[in-house]
Amino acid sequence: MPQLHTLLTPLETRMKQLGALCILGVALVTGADIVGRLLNTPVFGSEEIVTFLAGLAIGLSMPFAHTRNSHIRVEILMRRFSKATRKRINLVTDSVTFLFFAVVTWRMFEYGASTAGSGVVSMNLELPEHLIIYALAGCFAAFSMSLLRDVLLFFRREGSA
Amino acid sequence: MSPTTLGITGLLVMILLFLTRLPVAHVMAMVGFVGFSLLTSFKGGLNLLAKSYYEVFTSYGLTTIPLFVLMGQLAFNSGISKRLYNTAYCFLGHIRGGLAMATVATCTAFGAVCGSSPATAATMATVGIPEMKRYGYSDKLAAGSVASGGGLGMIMPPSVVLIVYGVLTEQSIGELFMAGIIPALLLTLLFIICIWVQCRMDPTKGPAGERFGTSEKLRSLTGLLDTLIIFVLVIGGMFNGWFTPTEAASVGVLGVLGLGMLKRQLNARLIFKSLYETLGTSCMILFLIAGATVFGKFLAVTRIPFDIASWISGLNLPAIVVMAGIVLIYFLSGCFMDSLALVMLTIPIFFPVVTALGFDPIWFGIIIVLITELGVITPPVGINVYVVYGVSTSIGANIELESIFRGILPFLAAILTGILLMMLFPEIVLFLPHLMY
Repeated sequence: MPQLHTLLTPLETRMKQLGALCILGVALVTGADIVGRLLNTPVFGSEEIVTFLAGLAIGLSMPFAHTRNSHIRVEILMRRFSKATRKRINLVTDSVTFLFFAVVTWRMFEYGASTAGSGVVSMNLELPEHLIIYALAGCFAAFSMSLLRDVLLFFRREGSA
Repeated sequence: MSPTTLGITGLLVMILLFLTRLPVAHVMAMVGFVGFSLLTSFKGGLNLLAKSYYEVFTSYGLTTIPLFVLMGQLAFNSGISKRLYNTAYCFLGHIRGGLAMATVATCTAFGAVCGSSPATAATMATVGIPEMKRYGYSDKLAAGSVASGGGLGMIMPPSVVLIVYGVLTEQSIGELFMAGIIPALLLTLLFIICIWVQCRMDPTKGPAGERFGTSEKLRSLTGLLDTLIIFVLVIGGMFNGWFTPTEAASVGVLGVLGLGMLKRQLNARLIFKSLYETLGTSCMILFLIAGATVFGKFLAVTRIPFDIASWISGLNLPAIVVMAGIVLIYFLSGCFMDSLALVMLTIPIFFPVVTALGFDPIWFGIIIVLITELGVITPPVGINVYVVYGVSTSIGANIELESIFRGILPFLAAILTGILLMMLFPEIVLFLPHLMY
């Protein structure tokens, strides 16, 4: 457990920083394309670069968004329960979420492999699409690890209580 | 089990899972995946999952969302709202309830660069509430105007909810943005009338503030300049066909960034703060869209939306009665659920019904956003109310939660009046899109 925590915390920070740069990259590439268009030299394949950068930005932000509790939840019933009951329900929901995203991660790697096998490339720049899928699969893996950490934290706290 | 029964079971399971505090986006994906697998094949369900997440995350059309969110965050952190408020204050401050009117007007103007309702409410609570307290405004009017005014950012373009609606229903985002302008201005006017009536009935609610001279008023107009430049560049560029929505959003980001750095209102710390906030919000929104995509595919296989559409058409009820029923469902659901999640969850069900009844999809989008705007101020969820409560506590204004909920009641009536007007006169919404497209 401490090893997982030591690994994940700096990883999340790095991913968040990279994600931020990707978003900035999206704005800059699109801006450069507009200026380039005015000068008759648009950025070749800008739409593909923007699409991939935005995809990476979202992928890289997954663990951060989870840690800062960005996702929308319906709180209306849970707040009526005692703290202990809430914790137990959270354990179940966290475990289910972890299992679900472990499956998504696995399927993402499979999808990447099948895309690599068929040699799909982007239309203009001919970028191999499977690289982006693998990168996203890696992001999903990091996100799943963050979810696993929450599950393990429950047992650690229960053990020390 | 028939597809329809499985679909209804799926909907019920989904509602139950929502109550366990599982993220809405994940629940939609989970239920959609299980349902789709049961109706087609397990392998089909697994493929749907990977493909949906990949396609949503790498959709060019959806890159508009993080960019517009970033534009709003940069505008928020560069203090544009404070300057807007000062301008509105110079013009309206001397009237009874003028500060509350200035707050509402500023919310609409700020909504032109920031599509987030809670961000607008938080900003205006910080700027407007101390001023209104200083002039002896009642807590109900002060907090009610900020919480309700914050919702105006949802309808004033660029609006994230409208972008999501446009993507889900394949409607032109440009047309939706255009359609949002008159309703946003109408609602602002209704809010101002609502404040005027309240102060007319009880003058102690909002005493008049100081009066400014013509030269001061004219000087204060410079506060509008940043917002005007960005709005004209972004929205004007899109309507004139110079930019796609993604390009317009990028221009907005670079414009706010450039202006903020030029005026030394943005530094590296604030820029990264904006970028991180954008990442969190965008990730949440795109997960919701991916979840809604998986769930939508499941619903499509069950054929429930089409069955409901043909069932309602078969009832031979006047279309406006059906529409009123849908509005009521949205209103009640909006009390318990976030507006964006609600739109994504219900659009696959109601959109076929509405189009089958012959309503304009652009008009429906605006009506939906208006109704969900009610959800940000109604109990028990009412996010803007909690934001205003939190900010008022942190700045020492200490307005009670009950006062805020009571304060929003007159504004609720104003929004409902607006919705009714737009249902009776759809041209209010469709005039500008018809003129431009």
